[in-house]
Amino acid sequence: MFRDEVWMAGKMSAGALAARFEAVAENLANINTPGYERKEVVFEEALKAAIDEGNAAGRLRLAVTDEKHISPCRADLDGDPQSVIREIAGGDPYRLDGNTVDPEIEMAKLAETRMAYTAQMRLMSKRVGLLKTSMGGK
Amino acid sequence: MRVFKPVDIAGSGLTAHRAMLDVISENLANANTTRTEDGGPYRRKVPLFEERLVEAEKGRMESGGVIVKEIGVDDAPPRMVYDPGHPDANEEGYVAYPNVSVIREMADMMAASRAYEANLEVVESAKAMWEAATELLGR
Repeated sequence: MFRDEVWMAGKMSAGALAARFEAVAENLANINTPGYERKEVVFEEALKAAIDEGNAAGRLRLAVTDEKHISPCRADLDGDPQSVIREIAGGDPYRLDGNTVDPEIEMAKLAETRMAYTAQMRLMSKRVGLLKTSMGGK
Repeated sequence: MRVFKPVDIAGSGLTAHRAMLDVISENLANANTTRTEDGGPYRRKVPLFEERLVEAEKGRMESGGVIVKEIGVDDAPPRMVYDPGHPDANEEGYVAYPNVSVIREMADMMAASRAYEANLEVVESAKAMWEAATELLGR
């Protein structure tokens, strides 16, 4: 029931967003630590590649003749966010103490991550609601 | 996934910046202190921040916020003010005042309180995110 592409991709996306949130939390905690290098989590491209790869390996592969067509086959996503997460540290220091944390960037990332995570969770809870309806629950 | 790790990290940031504010208020309170236990004027204190390492699974160490490693002492020379009538004046009539610059402390205080607020915001966001996640359990 929960092995489909939407659910698996959602799981990976939410896990990766949580990791990004953790990185932002770390950067903000170390905003006054001399020599600290900001951390960043990148996953979008890897996640997209994983989904595309799953689509290409699908069993019942229908012909996709236009890029706007939605490929209807299942992806073999494992649902583990670790497989798409890449953590990078660095950035250009703009302060004399060598710290590379920019509070504006981190606060923007914080809001962005929070919204994306909430949206993802809302989507998944809609799906649970769908299943509940089909099971006859209320 | 450790659900409350961001809160833990932000908590370390809150603790560290509160400690920074403590040090700043101590510096400001002693901005004119000419006598201390070790003799001489008060010396400006500086909190030294360090990235905190915590033990993760399988004994591996990973970063988990910030920690105040120690409170250092500023080695800058004292501020000499000519005041021959002062009980702590030297032979030339100069009094050694602490190497505390009130303006600098005020600037540091703003940096500390802004950082504190930023960490508080992380806790708020973490709360909102986990609330969204618990919606999966259904309403």
